[in-house]
Amino acid sequence: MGMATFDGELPAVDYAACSGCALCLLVCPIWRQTGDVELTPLGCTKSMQCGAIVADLAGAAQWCNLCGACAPVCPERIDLVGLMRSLRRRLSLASIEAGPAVGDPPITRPALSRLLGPGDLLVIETRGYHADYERRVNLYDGIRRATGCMLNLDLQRIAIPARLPVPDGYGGGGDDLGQARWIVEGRAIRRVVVEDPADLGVFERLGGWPVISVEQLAKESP
Amino acid sequence: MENLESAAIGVAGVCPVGPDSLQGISRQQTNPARWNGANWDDFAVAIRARGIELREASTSTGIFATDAGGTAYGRAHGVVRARSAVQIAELLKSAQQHRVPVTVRGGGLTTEGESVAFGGVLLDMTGMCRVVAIDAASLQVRTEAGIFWHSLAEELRRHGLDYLSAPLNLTSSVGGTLGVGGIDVNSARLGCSADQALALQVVTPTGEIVECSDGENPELFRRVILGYGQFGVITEATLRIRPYTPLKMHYFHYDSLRPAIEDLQLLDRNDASDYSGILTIMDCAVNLLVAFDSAEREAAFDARWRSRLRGRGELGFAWCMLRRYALRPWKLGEAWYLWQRKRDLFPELQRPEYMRDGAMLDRTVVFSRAVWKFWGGRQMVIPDLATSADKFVAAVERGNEVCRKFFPRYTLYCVGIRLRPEHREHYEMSCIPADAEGRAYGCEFEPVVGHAVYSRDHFQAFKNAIYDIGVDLGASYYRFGGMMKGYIRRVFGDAVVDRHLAMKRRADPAMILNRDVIF
Repeated sequence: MGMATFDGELPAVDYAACSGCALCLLVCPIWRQTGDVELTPLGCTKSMQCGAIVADLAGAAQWCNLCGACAPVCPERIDLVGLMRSLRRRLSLASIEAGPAVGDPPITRPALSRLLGPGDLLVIETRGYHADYERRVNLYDGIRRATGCMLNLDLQRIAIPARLPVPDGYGGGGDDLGQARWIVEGRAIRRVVVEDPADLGVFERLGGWPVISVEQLAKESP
Repeated sequence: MENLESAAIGVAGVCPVGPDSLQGISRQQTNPARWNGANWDDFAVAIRARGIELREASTSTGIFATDAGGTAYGRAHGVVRARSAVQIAELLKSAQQHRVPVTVRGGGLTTEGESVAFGGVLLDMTGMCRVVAIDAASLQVRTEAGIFWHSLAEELRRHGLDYLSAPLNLTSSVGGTLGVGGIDVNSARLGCSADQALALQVVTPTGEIVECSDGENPELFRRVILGYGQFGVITEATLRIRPYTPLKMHYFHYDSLRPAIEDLQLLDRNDASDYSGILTIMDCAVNLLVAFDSAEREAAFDARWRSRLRGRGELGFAWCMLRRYALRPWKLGEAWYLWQRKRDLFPELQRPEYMRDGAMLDRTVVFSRAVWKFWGGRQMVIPDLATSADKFVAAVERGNEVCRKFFPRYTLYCVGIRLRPEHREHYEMSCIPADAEGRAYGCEFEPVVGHAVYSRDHFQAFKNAIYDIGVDLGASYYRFGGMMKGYIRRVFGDAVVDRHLAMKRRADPAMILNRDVIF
């Protein structure tokens, strides 16, 4: 395997532009769970600048969940998601190759605003949010202002994914609830509302609050 | 690349490899030699036998091949990801025994290669990034030192708390910052970040794990705080914290540096604001930022100090610039740059998701993202001067002239730093100038490099010209280590440096810890 490059047409800005600012590290859920820069997009770009080949980056490619958090924060606008997708394809790691969800929240903002209130934690679906970050950051900020609800956003207004398997040897002990625990930490939650139905189970296992999907909420509300 | 370089040099109007470009420092001193690897194999066997994971693959070492400066490149023989104080103690004991250099790295935001390993072990402290305990009642936090300030803020904010002051950069690590200083736009009121530390857990260069503070092992505490990593590895820190508040920001615009600096110092002397600093677009477009944690403090400023500032509001300054460039039509290119920069930068500082009722929610996020977006790049050269209050105007004006000579576009960032008299011994041989009383001032001189390419010699000559001002004025610097260590004896004098060198030799017999940063 040769140098790790993007499939097809080269993007305008690629790994060579990485300055190492590490803003992407701060939002990377894998880094949060492992503290190991080698498993992150930053680790990939810096290694590639020093001649790493695709096989060298297998660890990062394997554990990346393509949440897309790294892309909106990159000041150089490097296509980090494209890089990770390319690596995964070349390493035949296709199990999570589904593209990011696109489109707006399952129901409209006015409808959501009627259904949510203070004490509700709205868990945003991360891929769709990050793929359309500049628009959606304002959309959800508006929902928060209108309802007083909480969001699974960090201080950079990046969405924290609720599900993430942790590699062995990093203290997780196979526990995949670390992300969900971090989302709820320190928050006075009355109810958890998830956009992605696949997140229901994580919060139900964590326990402590009713958990409902946005679609269910819309159906059950008058 | 050559064409771009020539163009850049042409603009600056100096020869980057001229005989005077490295005044006071011979060129071969600017980058340390790579360690020769003696005993490496025995050392690697020894630390692995102690259960320490050592990564020697080029992928692992390549990640850390340079720092934020992007002008120093080196490769470690191996990387160790920090996991605990015990692990680091074992590592340092073996390193002493085998005389293997250990370079400690946090966020890697040094600019002179201080966190680049030129052989030996690179100890990646970001592996130790856990908040140990938050005490909301006594407003203290205990944290592992590899944590980034931003990650610490993420945890504190869940409890309605915040740190006191930290670099306006999300990816500075706590340990690295305590080792060098750390300035924020509230440092004029609260002091540098290093002064927030109440206690530290330190692994000494010989591998002892020691708790230290002003009351416990105070000599070690004094040496480690602002000690450039020479006397130990900070593994945990207890820091003062505070309740979180959003801040109300005001900008005052000046068309020259001196009145802006004088107004900054006026505000600082009179404790008239909670945050203050100067950020320039050019030396004829100077922004004094003033901010407040509470409506009461803001109202007091409005009543007593606002009218005394000579800065203009946005409209008044636009009118001033219109007149300026109407009389100087040959400088329309400069006017266009100013307008573009303002058009792009100011909305970034007021993004709606970070504003509530006119208050800024997360200043570090806002400023740090702007810093990287508008000033970041693969090469960042940021020489600085730190002076007493009365020398500061002269230092900035002279530094500004140097910037003009070397780069067409550059930014100055100035803040005050409140000093704690009881910490005077902490400040010896640090970024705090020896003659400063009450408050010191720092100015960073940062060229806007963009996509231009400059030679390393050009950068080096620029830095030397700035640092020569410091020697002349009797100032200090934030970044005097690494490639700039040739200035250490010139600015601090032989007596002080020799005393610290003797202490270093006692603490670190094989001189393994952060070699070539200072000594």
